[in-house]
Amino acid sequence: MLTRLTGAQLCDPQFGTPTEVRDLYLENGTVVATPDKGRRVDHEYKLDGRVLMAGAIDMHTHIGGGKVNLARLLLPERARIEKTDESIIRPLSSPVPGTWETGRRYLEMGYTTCFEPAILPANARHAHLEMADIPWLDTGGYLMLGNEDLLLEWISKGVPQRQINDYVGWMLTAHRCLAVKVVNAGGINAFKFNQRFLDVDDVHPEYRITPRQILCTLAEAIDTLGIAHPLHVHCSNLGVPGNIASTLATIGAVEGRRLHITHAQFHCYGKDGPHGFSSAANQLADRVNSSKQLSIDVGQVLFGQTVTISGDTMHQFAHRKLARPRKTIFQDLECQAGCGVLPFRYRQSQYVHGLQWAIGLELFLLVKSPYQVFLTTDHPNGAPFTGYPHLIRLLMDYDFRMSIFEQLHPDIKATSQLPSLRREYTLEEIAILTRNGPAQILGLSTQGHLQPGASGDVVVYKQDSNQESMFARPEMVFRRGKLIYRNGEFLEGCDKVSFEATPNFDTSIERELEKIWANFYCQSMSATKIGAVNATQRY
Amino acid sequence: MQNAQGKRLRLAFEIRIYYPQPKLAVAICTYCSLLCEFHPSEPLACSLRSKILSRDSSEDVVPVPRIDGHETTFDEAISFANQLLADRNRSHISGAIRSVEAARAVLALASRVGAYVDPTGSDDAFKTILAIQRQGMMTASMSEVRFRSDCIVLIGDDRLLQSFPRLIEILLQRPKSSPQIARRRIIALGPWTSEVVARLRNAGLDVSTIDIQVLSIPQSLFQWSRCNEESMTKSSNLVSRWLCEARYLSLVWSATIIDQPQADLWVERLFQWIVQRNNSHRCVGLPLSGGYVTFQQVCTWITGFPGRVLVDGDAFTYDPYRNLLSDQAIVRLHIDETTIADESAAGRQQSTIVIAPKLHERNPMPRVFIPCSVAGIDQPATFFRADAAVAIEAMDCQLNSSTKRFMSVPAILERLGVAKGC
Repeated sequence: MLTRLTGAQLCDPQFGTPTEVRDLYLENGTVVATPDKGRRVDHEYKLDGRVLMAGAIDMHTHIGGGKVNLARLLLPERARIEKTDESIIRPLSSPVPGTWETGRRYLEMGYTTCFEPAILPANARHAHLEMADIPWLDTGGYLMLGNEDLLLEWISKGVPQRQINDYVGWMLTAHRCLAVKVVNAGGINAFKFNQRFLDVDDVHPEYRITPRQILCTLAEAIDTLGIAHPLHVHCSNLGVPGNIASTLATIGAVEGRRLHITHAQFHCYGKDGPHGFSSAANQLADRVNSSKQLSIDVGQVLFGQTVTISGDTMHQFAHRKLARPRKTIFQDLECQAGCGVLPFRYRQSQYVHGLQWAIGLELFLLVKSPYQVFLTTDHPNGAPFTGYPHLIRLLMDYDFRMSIFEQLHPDIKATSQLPSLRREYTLEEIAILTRNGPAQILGLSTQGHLQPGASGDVVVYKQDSNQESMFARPEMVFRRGKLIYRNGEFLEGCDKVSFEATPNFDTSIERELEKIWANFYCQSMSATKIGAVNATQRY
Repeated sequence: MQNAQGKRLRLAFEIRIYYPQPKLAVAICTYCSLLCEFHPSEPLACSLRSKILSRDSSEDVVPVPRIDGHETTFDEAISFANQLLADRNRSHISGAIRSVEAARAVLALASRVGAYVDPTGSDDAFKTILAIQRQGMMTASMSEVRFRSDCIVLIGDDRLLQSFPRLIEILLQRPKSSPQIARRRIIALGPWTSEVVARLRNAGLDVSTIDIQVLSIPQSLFQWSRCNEESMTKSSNLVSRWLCEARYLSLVWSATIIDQPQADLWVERLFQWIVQRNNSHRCVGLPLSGGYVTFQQVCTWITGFPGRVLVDGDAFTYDPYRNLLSDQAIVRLHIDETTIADESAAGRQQSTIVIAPKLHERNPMPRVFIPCSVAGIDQPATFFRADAAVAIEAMDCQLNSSTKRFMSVPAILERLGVAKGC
């Protein structure tokens, strides 16, 4: 069946294509080239005054797995049905809603693909099962490595790099993940030995290695295996004033290899200013601008109640007294990592929170290439994902940005350069930020664009001078070329997939792992490996 | 969940259940939530497993579909069950729902027909859940405790090992190569019998016992750790000294052994001590959950709540204290997908529809009985382990099952509620 979308402005900047009125054709679930004249069109949608974009991609959002579920368990009282209002995007029933609501709310904003960025290997099956229950969205995950006792023991013993490479390849394949993430390299593990602080060049109390060694080793493995996405790094010293030094040291640790710094806003703080807390966004942005090997996602803070979910047990525990409401969850997990869940409220009147808000926007505005910076709130850590339309308006509208900045704590004016950053994102840049860019950095060749061969994930927006309204309520969403959402109504389900990497590696590593696996884990290797991810639930 | 016009949103999607196809080199026992692995050719040495396998089934009613006690066909039983579901405003779903697949199917059915979902095992589970929801927790998973802990405190009594017979092999015995732990001390805290303590020692464990009422354990922990470090090392109070010396202290218990009222307050106090201890030392809890843990995980990720939830379409109402339970105009649907469900369970007594591998003569005959196969024995299924941290696709290879010919619980549930469906 051939479908034509006609009359709309096509915003698909990936191949230098200008935004202009063009027809778009969908057939057999994909975008196809303009057919021969005379070819019969089965469905036609006249979309004058609309803007078409590819389905949006959230490349870092906590949507599945053990710690996400713990956050739900911890906060049942947040799940209230809120009165709806057409003029604003209605809040989620909880900072971490259930899977059905997650899928529905993402699709309502035009998002069609989401990635869970912190999958514990032992918990990977749980994460994939949970993400399969998110309707409509394609999903995938990044595997957390860099804190397993097994790996740290190998690094400390100086095993050959190729053995580490094969281990990383095996772990990715066995747990069906797309990329590798490191959270506070070595630090989660050090906390299990009662160490409360571990900077990039500090020595682990048991294994006598440094985070620098771990980062360099893993970055080399990623490059050698040819994994599309760079090593995805949650730096040391999360949220600590002055942590920009750790962040810059982390960049140095990989010695020029590809690197992605995640939720970078939480990792570029200085210690200057009236409260010993200042913005160092320009330092990080300068480094990103000077190297094509570097990328960041921001992790923007927006004001309101949320919950922080992180594998960084060390720093979550250190911040436990900031929890609002005052209850927290911490876990040490399977000799592989840990997690901390901490409810949190960002207050507009508070100096630190206000400056965090400003720092995130500074990063967006200072990094020149929209292919090196990605739009995230690190849901739910900075804010729930329903804040994305609001964030887009902040980026596109200087006056709106300043209207909020003026309401912040007065001391922020002394420490933030935000007022001087008059840049306003264009529609094309927003499309790159939320579609083309994430697809490219994740190696998803059929996502994030509308060229022939792309998956038929298309979003139709009604043009609006209020960008928040525009991006909060697309008129139509096509998935795999089929119309599944129109004017607030979900029409039907669709098949979905889970993206995973398929690296080449020496499979004999499995024999090495089998010799030592039982030393670390209660469950055998064969029970741990995931045969296939059944993501094609029909939703 | 409502749209802008206040209309309840129907589920616009169909939930299809898939079944795992594990390629396992080992068999996995699902009779408790430890999920022990064993080679198919070697019997698993486990008292619970032996007891179940040697159970006398002579009093079981022959499992065939029945309507009002009379034999019928499977299709007729399904049709009659659908009629009952369509006739009433609400259903109440209970029973031993133990696999991920069944949990999904139950919630999908509840969404179609409107149901209050409260599976068996929630009484024990909510002792911990309520504590977490008020206070939070600080825990570790089983591999972490096994690998790292140099001092494990077993809290409770003999029932802990009766519920988890292979806890010694799975958790308490050190791995063959564990250079980090020169020595592991086990402290049995509670009214443990000498027989069980001897069993622990015979397994090569270094066991010390403190005979104390379970009820007073949290308060006692606060007292024992009140001394500062210097006084604790010189203290004649051995427990104080052991607590101080531990590099990675683990407290292991199960909610099933906490009998007192407001057991959630007991758990909450224990978690308070653990978190406080972490101000200076490393200390974790390991609450071992029973079979309810799988449903708890699935229900939480779909609805946002760990159970005791009223489901209607995609609207969910959490009812932790069972205030919304009503006897009026409901269909009681009892689902057991194991053969070891408590035969005296209250949920069976007034059931309208029972889906189970067997009926016992002592159970009152429901309006509709539909026999089913057993998850993890007749077909592979996915279960969560006792620490809720790991999900495993499990299949028990050793058993010749008489229920293999029946449909699975998820397959049966997919055919229910269709008359009332959206």
